[in-house]
Amino acid sequence: MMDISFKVNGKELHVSVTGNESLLDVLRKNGFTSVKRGCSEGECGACGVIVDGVYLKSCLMLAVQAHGREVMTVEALGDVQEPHPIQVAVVEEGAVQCGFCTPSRILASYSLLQNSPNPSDDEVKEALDGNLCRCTGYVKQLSAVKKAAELIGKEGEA
Amino acid sequence: MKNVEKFIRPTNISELLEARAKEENNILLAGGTSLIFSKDASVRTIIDMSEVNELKNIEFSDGKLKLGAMVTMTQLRHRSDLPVAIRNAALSVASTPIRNVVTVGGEVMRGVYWNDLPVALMALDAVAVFASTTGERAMPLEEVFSLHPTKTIRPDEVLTRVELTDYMRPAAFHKFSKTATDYAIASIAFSARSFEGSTVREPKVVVGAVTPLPRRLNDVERLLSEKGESALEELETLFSGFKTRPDFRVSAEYQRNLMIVGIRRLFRAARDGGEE
Ligand SMILES: Cc1cc2nc3c(=O)[nH]c(=O)nc-3n(C[C@H](O)[C@H](O)[C@H](O)COP(=O)(O)OP(=O)(O)OC[C@H]3O[C@@H](n4cnc5c(N)ncnc54)[C@H](O)[C@@H]3O)c2cc1C
Ligand code: FES
Ligand code: FES
Repeated sequence: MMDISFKVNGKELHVSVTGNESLLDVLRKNGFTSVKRGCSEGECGACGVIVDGVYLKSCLMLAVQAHGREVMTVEALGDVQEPHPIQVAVVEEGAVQCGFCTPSRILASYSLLQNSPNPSDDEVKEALDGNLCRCTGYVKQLSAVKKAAELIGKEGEA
Repeated sequence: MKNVEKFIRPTNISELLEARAKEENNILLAGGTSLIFSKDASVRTIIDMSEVNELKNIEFSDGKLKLGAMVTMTQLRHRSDLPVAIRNAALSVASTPIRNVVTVGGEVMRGVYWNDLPVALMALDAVAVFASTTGERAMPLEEVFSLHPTKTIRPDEVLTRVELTDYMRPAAFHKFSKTATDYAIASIAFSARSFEGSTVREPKVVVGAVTPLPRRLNDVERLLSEKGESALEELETLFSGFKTRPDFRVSAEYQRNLMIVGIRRLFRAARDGGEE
């Protein structure tokens, strides 16, 4: 076992891990259940998190790799009382059904909009290419990102 | 890797090379996207290279393009000053959150049939630079892949970068797959010194996925050098006996046909600027 520590949404987490545990395993064990386990092999994209500003699949990252890093899950963005504009856009555009793929996809969208506040259609498609959804189809998901960009832009002007 | 006892994170190349030489049963960690599946119970130490900044550079110096081993696919994809073939190969790797972490070193050293980047690099005559505490050793990628890359590297070495000399020559790459994020059925790269009318100088053709490791097709190159574009209509004979890697998704006949069609397309794409 190895003792490691890292931040999740600003709070320090100290854990003991083995060399074959994934960041996904550790996050879920510690109550961060917005990070979903779909496939455990990098295909579905339900386990996405942002680590030191980089959007990645937590099932593909060894837990020890997170030592000293800052991990962000969707909880850091907003909640029902104070949703982030991306969360508002996802609801308004109807880009959510069962919700399993949603937290990770919101983080993928957030990561895109951080680097490219007014993305083209192609940029949005590329940014979401790692996120499978079995419910809504993809058209509304793309329009939700465009809408979120608009909402964030307006917020910036206000 | 359940028996790992130690995790270290060197912050420069000399610390990295020393750790590589002296740590018991160590493994080098790049993006970690394949190591996460490792069942190797003999590994005692993980050497994480994520803080060795010298390995993260894309550099144009001494007339060469140098890609550090820890450069990610996302970095390659977004650099408009890199050859289109390399950018397209980087974009072919899996999906955005995987490209954000997969590295040049991981792509070269993993040695699985679906690694796309080495196919493009090999067509551009890339050279791998291995380093150890005793110095550096350069080896053309073609030689790296003459065996499995884990056999061409020595246990005390680290791949520090990949170097390309004539990197702006005409070149193109395409991954043929069922969906954009699926593993390649065939990856094909083409490059040439130059095109003049229907003739071509020093063509290089490399295929991946249809073979276990990237492979140069010398007989196709020879025919193209002799006959130029018209050779594209004579490829069938060269492929009739080509032994492909068995693929449950497609037949061997399909794989051979794909190579023929792919080479024709990529020859023309390379001539016309790299995009299909
Ligand atoms: C779902 C999924 C789909 C994928 N699809 C594709 C695809 O379509 N095309 C594609 O090309 N790839 C694809 N990949 C990526 C590929 O399978 C490997 O995971 C990737 O190439 C490994 O890169 P890494 O940087 O994460 O390396 P790691 O997993 O960290 O390392 C890989 C190996 O290389 C060694 N190594 C790494 N760097 C060095 C170095 N500098 N010197 C010496 N040894 C080193 C490591 O010790 C290890 O043995 C996919 C991966 C997943 C999970
Ligand atoms: S759990 Fe499916 S990609 Fe990570
Ligand atoms: S909303 Fe159900 S999987 Fe996407």
